[in-house]
Amino acid sequence: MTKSLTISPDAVRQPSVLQSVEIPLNSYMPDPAREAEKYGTENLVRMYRDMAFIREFETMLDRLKKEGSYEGIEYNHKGPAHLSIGQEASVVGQSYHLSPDDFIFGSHRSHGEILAKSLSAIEQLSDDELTRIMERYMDGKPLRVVEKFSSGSVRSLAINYVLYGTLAEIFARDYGFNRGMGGSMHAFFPPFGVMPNNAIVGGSADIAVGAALYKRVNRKPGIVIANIGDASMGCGPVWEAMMFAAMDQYHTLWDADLGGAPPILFNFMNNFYGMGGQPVGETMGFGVLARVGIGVNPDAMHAERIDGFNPLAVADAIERKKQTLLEGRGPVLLDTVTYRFSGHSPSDAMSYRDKTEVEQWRAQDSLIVYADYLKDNGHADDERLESIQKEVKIRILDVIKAAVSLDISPRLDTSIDSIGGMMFSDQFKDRMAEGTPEVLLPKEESRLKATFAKNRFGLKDGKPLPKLQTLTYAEALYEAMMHRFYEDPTMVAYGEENRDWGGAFGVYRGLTEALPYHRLFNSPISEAAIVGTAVGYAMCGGRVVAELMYCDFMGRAGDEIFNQMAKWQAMSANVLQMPLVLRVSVGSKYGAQHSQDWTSIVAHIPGLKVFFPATPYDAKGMLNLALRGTDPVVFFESQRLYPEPEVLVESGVPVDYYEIEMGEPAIYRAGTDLTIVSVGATLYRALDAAKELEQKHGISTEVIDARFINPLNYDKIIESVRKTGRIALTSDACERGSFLHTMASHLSQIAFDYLDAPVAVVGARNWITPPAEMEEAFFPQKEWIIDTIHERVLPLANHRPSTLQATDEMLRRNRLGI
Amino acid sequence: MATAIVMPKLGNTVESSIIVRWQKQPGDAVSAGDSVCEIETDKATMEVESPVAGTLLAQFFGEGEDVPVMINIAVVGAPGEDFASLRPAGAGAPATPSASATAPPAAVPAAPVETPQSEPQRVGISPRARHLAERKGMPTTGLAGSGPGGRIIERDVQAALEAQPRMTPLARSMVASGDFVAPPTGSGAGGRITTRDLQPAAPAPAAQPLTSAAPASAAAPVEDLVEVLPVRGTRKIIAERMLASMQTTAQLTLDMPADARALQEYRKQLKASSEALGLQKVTINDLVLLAVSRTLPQFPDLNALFTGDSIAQHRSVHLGFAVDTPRGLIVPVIRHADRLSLKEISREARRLADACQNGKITPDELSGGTFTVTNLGSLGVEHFTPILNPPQVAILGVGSIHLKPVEDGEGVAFVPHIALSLTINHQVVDGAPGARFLQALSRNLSQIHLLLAL
Repeated sequence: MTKSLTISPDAVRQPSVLQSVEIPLNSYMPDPAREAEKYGTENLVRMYRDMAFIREFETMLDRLKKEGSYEGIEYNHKGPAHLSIGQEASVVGQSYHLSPDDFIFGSHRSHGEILAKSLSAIEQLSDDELTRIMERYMDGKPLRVVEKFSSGSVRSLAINYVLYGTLAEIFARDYGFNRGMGGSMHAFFPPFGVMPNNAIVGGSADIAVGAALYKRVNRKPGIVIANIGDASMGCGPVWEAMMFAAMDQYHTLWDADLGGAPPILFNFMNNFYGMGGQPVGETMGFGVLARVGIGVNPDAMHAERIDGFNPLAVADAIERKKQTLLEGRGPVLLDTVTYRFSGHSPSDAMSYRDKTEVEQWRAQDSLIVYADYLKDNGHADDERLESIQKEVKIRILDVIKAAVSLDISPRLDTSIDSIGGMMFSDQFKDRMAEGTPEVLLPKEESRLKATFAKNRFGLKDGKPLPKLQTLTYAEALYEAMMHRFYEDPTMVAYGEENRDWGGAFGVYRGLTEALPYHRLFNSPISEAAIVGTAVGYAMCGGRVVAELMYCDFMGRAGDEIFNQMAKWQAMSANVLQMPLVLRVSVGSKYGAQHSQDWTSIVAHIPGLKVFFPATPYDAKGMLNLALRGTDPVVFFESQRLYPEPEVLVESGVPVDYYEIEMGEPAIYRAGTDLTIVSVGATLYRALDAAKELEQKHGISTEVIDARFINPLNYDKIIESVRKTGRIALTSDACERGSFLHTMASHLSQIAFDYLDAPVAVVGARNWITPPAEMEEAFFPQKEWIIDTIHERVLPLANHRPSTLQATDEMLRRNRLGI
Repeated sequence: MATAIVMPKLGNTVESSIIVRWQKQPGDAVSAGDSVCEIETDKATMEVESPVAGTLLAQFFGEGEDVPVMINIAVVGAPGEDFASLRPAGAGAPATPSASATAPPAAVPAAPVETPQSEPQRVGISPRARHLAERKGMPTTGLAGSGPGGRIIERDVQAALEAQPRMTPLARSMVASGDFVAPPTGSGAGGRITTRDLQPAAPAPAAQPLTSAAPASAAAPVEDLVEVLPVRGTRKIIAERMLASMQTTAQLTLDMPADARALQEYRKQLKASSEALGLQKVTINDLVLLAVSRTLPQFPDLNALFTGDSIAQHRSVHLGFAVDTPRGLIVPVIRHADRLSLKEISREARRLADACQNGKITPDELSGGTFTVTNLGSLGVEHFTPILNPPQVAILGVGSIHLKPVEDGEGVAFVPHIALSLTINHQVVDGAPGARFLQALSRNLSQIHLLLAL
């Protein structure tokens, strides 16, 4: 969507044939002499050692899960263990050419990746760097444990450190890499470039793209690899991630000096099974996984199939692909053939594969074949290899002894709210990194000049001022965005139609002129990838504003919002922060799939902050607050309100920067007999109801806008209901399961003795949203609020209800499920 | 064969009991040991059990009827069995399964089916309304609710409060207790009703003296609004005994204050003590009970029963204490109080008081007292003249703690004092021994800590 790209009918209607590039399959030609020269004996032998570490580590877990003991040490490991026995060569080969600056993201089956990447990083880092990393990480607490049973060089200590940090994490211990909050499927260690492993199949794909975007936009070194399984090719978000990674605009529109496309490598660890289903021959149809690259871009993602049973074939491919990515020519797809000898998990009865198939692969076991290769080519003899096996075993024994002991490796103390303390990072940072924000215009020449000059309050002598001359809710949001864009050099924003169009509702009008492409761009219509990449961008340390045009589209990004955005701060034990603001717009007039208020759905998910301003004053002050924080915020906006000026805060919307206090509701009308709390745009209908209650019935009504859904400070609301004794809650969310019921339940429990009637909830009907012409039958109206008060709270004299709000109607609707 | 259920005799002095509530209705299946009804004597509420299994064939008395002991009140047997011989003489037939004779005349149309009459809708009251009513001492039974579904809500209580005359808080709580009625205007500031204006409710406490809807004439003066209640149960026994006490004894009341500083200080320490000691709930009244139990043994002529021709001086102190219950005054007895520790006295007093409130007190726990303590101090009463509980010869009234000017070395200090009022039967005890007892008690109270060593 830019006028600089034109679409010529003559070109696109031209008859022709599309030629595709060829996809190399297992093209690596072993050449022992060249390999000896390239790597040297020590490195070739070290690769064997690393494979042996992984094999023994996974074997140890396998024994613990199946037999409850390993080498005489008994332990009941309650959690999961998805083992990669058989896949060692694929990860050791991958890590060889990766530096600590290169990131890998993995899956539930990533113990081997953690160890291989860390052991490679240890070889590359100096003693000083290693010491600094281990001393700083978690205040040196894991290091203190490892020092007790380790001796020798810093490098030797670091090897035990990685083994211990990973195992203690798997055993859910406080000195694990993520204080036990991640466990087997999520363990990671950023200082060595080992980024979060994800238990949602394919979950790492879009997150890794976001990390690559962070590297590109912020000019950071290194590439990013998403290690995901072959079966994840069936996941929509994986395809969305590839689309996002392959956008033409990196080459056609972005500044050339930035370096091209985000350096992302989609590495499919192809072990031919998705738990029990077989992608080839059964559950998918690509035949050869690498073929998929052809469908993504003209380079076919530089796709190749490589032999994951030969560490040197993998190392060779990674070395070449890393170069491609650093040149900005990504994305890359690798189909890394491998095989797991162990089951999907210890509970796997292997009902889906034949024993002889496993035997055939075992016969080609990379540890045996590579050992023979080392011996045949004079790199090691049996004695050397045995001494390596011995060292591996001794280290793993030392580590497991420390990791199983609850004295040496305690669990997190949950008798205090220690996990609660990790749900949010609760920090405020003007900028996530130092530097000068890249912009195209001085702030003074931007559209701010126009918005600052507008009326900042929408009424004069009680009469409305012309809307075009008055700052609107949408423009208040724009001012907040501008402020942070000019403060924080890491901040980027994207979504559908964000650039040029300025967002479907014009909130970003004026940003296109002020910001370069890499800070504001249009994404593909890939909601999962919009949120997932933002998660990856934020966890690397960048501030990001992702936009979903309609609240209703959150369903398309369910996993990314519920499992990724919400969870990584706590799952990492606050190693990561999530300065991600997800703007979603609550619609109306567009029917069933474009008019829903889903605040209640996100309110239910732990780990998200949820805001919903209803006035321009709050819109700017709350977006300012969200954009300075380090926590994930789902920021709801109302399409009904975008064109509306401020009519409640008489001082108007300040030109200067300000923030609304976190979690504090606002009282927009004072009263003594009744309280109405609203969430979102129903505020104005609540105010209309309050006016009528006062004028017709003499009921002095207090109206409070909750503004925040989480966190929410109930004090003001409790104080109000103590005074009035009567309270009704209203929002445009469907009534069943509405967050209002949570609020009602809390109020009933906290203020029970002060209540003169049960807390009444006025939500939208539990229907589809009907077309615009019939919407008033669906969304709460002023009359519903008044009738509800009459029927359930305080019968009004001479009032004839026009809608059904009595408790028998509640029963009828529930009986029918509507 | 049908078996009669008999009104039990619940103590040597019990002559009749009231059937409070039938728990089984004619036609209900009954197992041996099932409770068929709840009865109330002058001293306690009990349950009457069926001795056999079968079907409840008939109830011979209705709820609220006062039935002499040892009389058949119901019958259990097989359905259809004849039980005419078991019906006591003079008992009506309030409820048997074949009561068709009492069907309404045909001319009266039957009630519409959709309004079930057997289960009247429970009328709710909002927590806020209840809270307000409690704070203002405003009874809510009988209030008409204007909330959804007839719920009593705040405005209903407010309206009822406004309809009430203005009263002092104490006067209002005394009216709320049901024992007093208030005139339409009082003698206090601005016509406010004070305790001085209150009249004892007679002949029975009116539950709703001021808020019941006026009968026929709206112009009827407020004090004419009375609800007549039968005198029975506890009230009946109190009425008889109090009158007998005044008519048959020569009562004299002596007043003496006691320095209450030690009491208050010690009570404070108890309240602040570790929960594990179990002393936090000890009250001032418990301390008075302790002091009386330790003082009385030195004054055997006050710890005595007078039967007209002999005086029985008791060595042990069986200490009665007055408990105010919804049904009226009840006096349970702490046995061998002189041998109990403070903690034991306190615990026993609380247990007995709870049993009185719940109607679960047994007749044995209400008899055998040798001396009685009654306390109106918590209701703000300073001095009063307790009425003897014959055949006991003395009763101690305990008033409120108040400041009393006392001369000290430099001038006048205000020292908290607790008021003691001792009523004695001058037939048996003279004024001086009574005064000496009061002196000793007063000294002991002012040095309560020393007493604890005994």
